[in-house]
Amino acid sequence: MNILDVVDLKKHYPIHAGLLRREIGRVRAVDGVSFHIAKGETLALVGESGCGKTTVSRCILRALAPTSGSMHFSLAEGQSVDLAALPKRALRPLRRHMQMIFQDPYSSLNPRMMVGDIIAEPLKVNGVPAAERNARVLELLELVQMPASARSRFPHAFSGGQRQRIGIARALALNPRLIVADEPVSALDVSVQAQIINLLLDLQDRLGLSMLFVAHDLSVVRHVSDRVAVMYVGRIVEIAPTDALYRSPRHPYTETLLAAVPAPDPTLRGRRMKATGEVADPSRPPPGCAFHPRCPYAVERCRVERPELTEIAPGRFTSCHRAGEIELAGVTG
Amino acid sequence: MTAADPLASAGQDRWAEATQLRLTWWRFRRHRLAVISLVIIALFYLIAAFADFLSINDPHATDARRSFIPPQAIHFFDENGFNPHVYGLRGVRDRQTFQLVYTPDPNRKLPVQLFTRGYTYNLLGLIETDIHLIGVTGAQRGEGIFLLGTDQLGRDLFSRMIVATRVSLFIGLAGVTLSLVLGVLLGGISGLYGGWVDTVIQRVIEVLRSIPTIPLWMGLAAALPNSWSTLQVYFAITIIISLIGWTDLARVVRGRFLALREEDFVVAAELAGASQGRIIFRHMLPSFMSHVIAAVSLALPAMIVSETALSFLGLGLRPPAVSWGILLQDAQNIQVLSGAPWLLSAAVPVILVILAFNFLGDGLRDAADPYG
Repeated sequence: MNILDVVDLKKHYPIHAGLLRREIGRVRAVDGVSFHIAKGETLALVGESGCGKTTVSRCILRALAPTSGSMHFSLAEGQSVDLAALPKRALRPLRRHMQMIFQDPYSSLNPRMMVGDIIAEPLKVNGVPAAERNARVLELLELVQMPASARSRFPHAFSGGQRQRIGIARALALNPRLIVADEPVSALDVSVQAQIINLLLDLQDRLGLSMLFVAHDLSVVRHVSDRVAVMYVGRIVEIAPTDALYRSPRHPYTETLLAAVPAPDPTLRGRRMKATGEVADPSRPPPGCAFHPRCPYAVERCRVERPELTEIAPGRFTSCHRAGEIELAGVTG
Repeated sequence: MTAADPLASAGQDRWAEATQLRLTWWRFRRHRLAVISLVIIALFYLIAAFADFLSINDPHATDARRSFIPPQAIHFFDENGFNPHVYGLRGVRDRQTFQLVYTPDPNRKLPVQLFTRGYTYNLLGLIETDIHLIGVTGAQRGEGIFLLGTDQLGRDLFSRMIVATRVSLFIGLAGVTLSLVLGVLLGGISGLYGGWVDTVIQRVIEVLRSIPTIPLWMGLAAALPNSWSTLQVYFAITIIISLIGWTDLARVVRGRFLALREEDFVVAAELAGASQGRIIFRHMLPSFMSHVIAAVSLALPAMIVSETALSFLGLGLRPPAVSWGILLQDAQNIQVLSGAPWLLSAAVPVILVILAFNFLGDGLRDAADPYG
């Protein structure tokens, strides 16, 4: 069963100019993205800065209103709602079913509230009685491996990693059906990153979480995700099960990202490929395949015809004209 | 791990559980000048609250016989030891200018006493009494304690300055309160709803701010009917002053709202399903209240100076009301000033209070965001 079915999601920002505020163009931050998340599954959404992955996550949570497309969210067996079609007011009772883990552990916790109140807030606004709230806060603190004494402290007393644990506890408070984690570890030190990743893995095991895990590089994703979707300039260029994607990427952009994963083997340094050039401007994407100006395998067809996301093997989708012809390097081990 | 750390001292614990108010206070305390200013301002407001009790002579009582008496000092000791007294006065006609010049007469001592009876007033507007902090006994007509001298009409400047403190300081408070209400309301609406509402409010603010203040005040003050009582004029002046004052506060509030709307913890509350009211009052308001308080403490001196300037120009309060501006009005005339320079001393409390408020505002602004 799918928790979330996203079909052809678009989020465009109009560019206005002049006295009459005429629309002169659009930033296509998200331009037709489709994917699904099965129950208990973690899907990683990966791409460089500005590729639209954060916009996708904010659209799903309806912190942003999508321009078009549908997002079917399952509430119970055989019952689902289209999040894209609901007005903001109707969303409030649904919010408890999907929660977010933020990137910045500093700005995501209100510095004026005690940690106990921060974690209890989702419970409080959804009408959980006070006694139950207290018990649940203690349970959650234990779940994220924080001492119970943290309750009466303020966020300023905690380090980035500890704050992120508090943020995770808050996200879990209502037992949401879906968790959207927006780069939950990229603001943390590498050593702390590992702790948080381990915590998330542990929580996946214990709670069977369904999660959309947004990240800007592939190094952290491998451990947490079941499948990976790679985004480039507002579109998904490849979706595959994690292992398959790492072993044999089918899109040149994925290969580039994989090459950026630090490998603990100095002999590999020579044959790494580097991404040249800049990410395309989403208000003026290049014709054809958006990646062609940076792609070492680009041919004439890539410059004129835009490739569609097609299934090339069971569960493997890629949008590359040359998917069948070229041999791309993955990572082993 | 913070809590499990056996090395965590009691001090660290206190810090970990400190509220924003605490943190702000700790940080504010480090700003010496601001703390001193806070004390000065508190003293001034205390003086204002107990003005009549502290004043020595009736600030409105005129007496031609004691006009332009120079400041007198209180002598604490004489040949008999501790015996606080002031000298009596003897009027001597100056042979050249034919002016009456008062010189202290060391042979006449007027004993200074605490808690003496004087003119009747209402203490804090509640209790009718005639007890004053200090006074003299056995004074003849025209004699008394004139610490800062008297004006042309023989009114005691010290007492008048103390009573003026009340008017001048409270007109600032009233003006700021009104500005605050307008500013928070309009700034809040502007920042929260955005769109055309925001545009309209911002343009109104720009227009208001582009009008030069002095001519605007002059025009508005001139429009006040002559028949109005002192009290009515007082309120009208307050409103006129705050009419400009709110724009600054509105900008501060709007800016904070705009910044906070994008803040992650506000988004988090929204995603948790919190109501709009909860988001505003639980998350946004506490986050910028300290900034508003700092802005207020910087707006107050501007209000006080406005009142002083208006009254000085004769457009604000009118006698018999007493404010610092009105006292300074007496010091406008260079001829009067050359003969009675002590009249200029009414400028001292103005300067002191304005400086104190500015330092306090600085300190508050620095301490306002203990997390930044």
